[in-house]
Amino acid sequence: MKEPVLTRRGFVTGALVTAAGVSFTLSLAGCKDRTKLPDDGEPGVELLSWVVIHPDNSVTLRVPQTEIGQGVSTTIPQMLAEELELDWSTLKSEFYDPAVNAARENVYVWTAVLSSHSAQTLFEPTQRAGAQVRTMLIRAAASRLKVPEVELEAIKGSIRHKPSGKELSYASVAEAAAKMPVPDPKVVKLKEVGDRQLVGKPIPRRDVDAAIRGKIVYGIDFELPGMRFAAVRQSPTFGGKLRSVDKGSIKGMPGNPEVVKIKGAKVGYNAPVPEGEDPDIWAAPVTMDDAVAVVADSWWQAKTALDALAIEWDAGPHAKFSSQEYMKTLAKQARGDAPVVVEAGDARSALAKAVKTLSAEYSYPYMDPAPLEPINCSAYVDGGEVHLWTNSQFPDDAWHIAHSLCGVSPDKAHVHILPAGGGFGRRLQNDFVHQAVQIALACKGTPVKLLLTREECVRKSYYAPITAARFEAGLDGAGNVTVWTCSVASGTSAEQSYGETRFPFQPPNVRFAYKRNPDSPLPFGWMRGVGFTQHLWMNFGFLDELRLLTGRDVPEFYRSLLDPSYIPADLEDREIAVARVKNHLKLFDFAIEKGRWHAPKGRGRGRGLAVGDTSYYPSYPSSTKAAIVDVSFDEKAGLRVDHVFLAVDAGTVINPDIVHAQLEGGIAYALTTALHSEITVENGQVQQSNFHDYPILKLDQMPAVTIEILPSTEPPASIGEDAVPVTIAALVNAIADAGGPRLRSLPIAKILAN
Amino acid sequence: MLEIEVNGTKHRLEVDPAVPLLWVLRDSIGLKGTKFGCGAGLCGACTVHVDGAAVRSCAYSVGQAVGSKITSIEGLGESGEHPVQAAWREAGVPQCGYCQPGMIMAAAALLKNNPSPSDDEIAQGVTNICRCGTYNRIRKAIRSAAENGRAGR
Repeated sequence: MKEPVLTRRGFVTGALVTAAGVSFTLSLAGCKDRTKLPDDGEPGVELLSWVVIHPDNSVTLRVPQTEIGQGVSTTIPQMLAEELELDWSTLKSEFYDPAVNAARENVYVWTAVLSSHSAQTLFEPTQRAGAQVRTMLIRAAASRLKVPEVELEAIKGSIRHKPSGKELSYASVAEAAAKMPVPDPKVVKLKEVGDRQLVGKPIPRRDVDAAIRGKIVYGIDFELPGMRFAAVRQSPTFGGKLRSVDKGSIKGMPGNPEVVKIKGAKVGYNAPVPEGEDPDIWAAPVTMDDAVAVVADSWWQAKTALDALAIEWDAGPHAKFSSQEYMKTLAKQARGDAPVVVEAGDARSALAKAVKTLSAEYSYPYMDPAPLEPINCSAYVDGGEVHLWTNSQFPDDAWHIAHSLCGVSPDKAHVHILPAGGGFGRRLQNDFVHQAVQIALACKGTPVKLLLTREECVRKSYYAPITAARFEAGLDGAGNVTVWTCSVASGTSAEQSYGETRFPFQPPNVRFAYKRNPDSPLPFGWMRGVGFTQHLWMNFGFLDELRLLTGRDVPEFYRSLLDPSYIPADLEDREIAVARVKNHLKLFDFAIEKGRWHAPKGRGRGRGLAVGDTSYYPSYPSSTKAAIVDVSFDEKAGLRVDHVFLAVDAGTVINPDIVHAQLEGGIAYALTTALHSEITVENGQVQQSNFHDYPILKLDQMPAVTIEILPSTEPPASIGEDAVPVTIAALVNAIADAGGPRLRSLPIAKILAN
Repeated sequence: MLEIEVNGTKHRLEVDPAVPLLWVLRDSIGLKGTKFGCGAGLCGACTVHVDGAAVRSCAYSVGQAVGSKITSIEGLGESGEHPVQAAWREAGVPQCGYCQPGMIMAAAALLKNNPSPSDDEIAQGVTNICRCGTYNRIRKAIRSAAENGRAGR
């Protein structure tokens, strides 16, 4: 049994309890008078790391991920409270503590906001934790009342003795419950699906009221007395070095500006990597360049001084880098001998035997995920401790950076998670944490908040990788696809999610090749939809080009390729692969019917269809989704996206309203990606800087949306990223169907304008 | 020293008149509901009302605001009772929520001038950016606030 530990929040942890209701005010050695850190604790008894019961019988649930808009502050409490039998209207939540997660061997299971892993990974553990705590509370009440456990039931924060009607609040038995042996999570009884009160219900988000009143405290809003503010300029070229900075150039400016040099560094990796695995497969290295910060009494003063600061940079080895030239190199590599990663059948001889063959080249530019809240992080270093206030999507890594960079023991690093104004992958790279800690180390005893301008965010982001692909395929005399090959070359990326062409369809002969080109100076970053965003639309674009050669009907042609008999007999996890194809077929038929594929189209209208999952390998869990996109196209009036239909099979849905919201938002994200997003580089520098030249979809371009969720009792699957790839894939074919151009590169708005 | 009136309260501030109103609201007065998104008047996260008109406060100096009545999200409806906020709550608009104070301020100003906007007028009148893509719920909430006929008050 673990020793009780008094955490900074003042909760008594572990299964032992010394004193419930103990109050603990956070105080720090060496802390100056003007810096009073907030005491974020409330007295209570902690049960199994997930639940804290307070003396007033209110309950706090731990949310083991950062809220970035995906709704975890609602969905995770829904899952926990379902088995715990809480009064939904009075429950509270707080974000997990990465130090606790590390000390308790990853008790929160999956804490990075990555790869749509909230419901799908946490549903089972949170249900079991809720049921364990409920069982412990019932046992404590049974012992108190001296009645058998079976005569007790948990209802809305109380244990009720059924025969007598007597009730005990959770708070009154919490201390005793914490001393009970912890029930085996595998044997605790979970509710029947039909008995669920919270899971599956469209409960309003818990943060709606605060959001519409401007009361959510995002990372950017956090402030402490005596805080100073940092504006940052990073090397304008990637890999550039700071040569010199003239501190005299800002002397006497308002706000007592001081200059802090930030050293470029290898920050770490941008995803959790399982022990013994190759980090370059699972993630990508996060590097950051030299930078200069100006720290002042207000951020505007810091920014103004930074703008006036004379800085000299050594442009470094990539001073001549051009993304246009680099794309040519990648296209050449895609045409050449990229290493084969997947092969089934004999592609070479099938191509030789084909009655008709077709080849085409596709490409995808660099992109910045561009969450709306600019990158920021607050840090405080003093007295052998470090505190961070951050909305990183990877707080465990932020915590690691904090204690290793400050050279303090891990328990002296405290990460306080705050909500984010969007993330979309950008905040998985903790460069801003590294920078904020470096600044705080230079300003010991003073809390500092780093905040980047939008320009800095766009020019020094972590980018979706630039990619070139070459397809070649063959048809037999009856218009059947006999062979499909695709060769891809891309800049630095995480190989697992970008390396293979993602495609649900399975012609008899297949060859995929992938070359990861290491010469991109732009650092790789995650972006909503990851590699699927790139590959799915290219695949569906080329597939449609091929279909047009055959004259076959879209659903019939696609369905003919969703044929499990083509899956190689010796494929590892073949059964799962076959099940995947069947899932695709089921959802495909559901979408054709519900999405009214066969409804008449007007003149100048086009319709496109795509189906896919976001599974890296057969056993990787994923939802299945299909999109039908309707557009109007006219040479003069241009393109209008009229309607997007989305069907999804995501297993058990925790909160249908949040699922709808995520899919609606994913459609908007897809349209921005397809229509507008492109980062270009010339002379080693990003040419875009703000929303005028890196535009985001606005209300006037948002189409009508219809969403259908396939009813299911299977475990929950991914949702957050899922709308993006299929929407783009259906969109490019809808444009061609409407008489528009065949699009083989992005962004569409730029291509149509030329 | 200059004086501005925000949400009915007068503030005397030692501040350079060239500082954008956004930073004065957020940092001098402590009203953090108004958000920074772009600093160039492009995204609208910083939208407030100056004498009833929607203004992008990141590209509007505090000096320009002297003598005007400024309303921020905190002053629109303190407990979220403004009809536009009520419609937002009903439609479950926010995801990350970051753009929503600016969106609500833009929508409230639109409805004040035009209590029954057409869909085109909504699209032309609300040009703020929502990166989460809540636009259809925004449109629905504006329509519903307009239909309820309560927003123009």
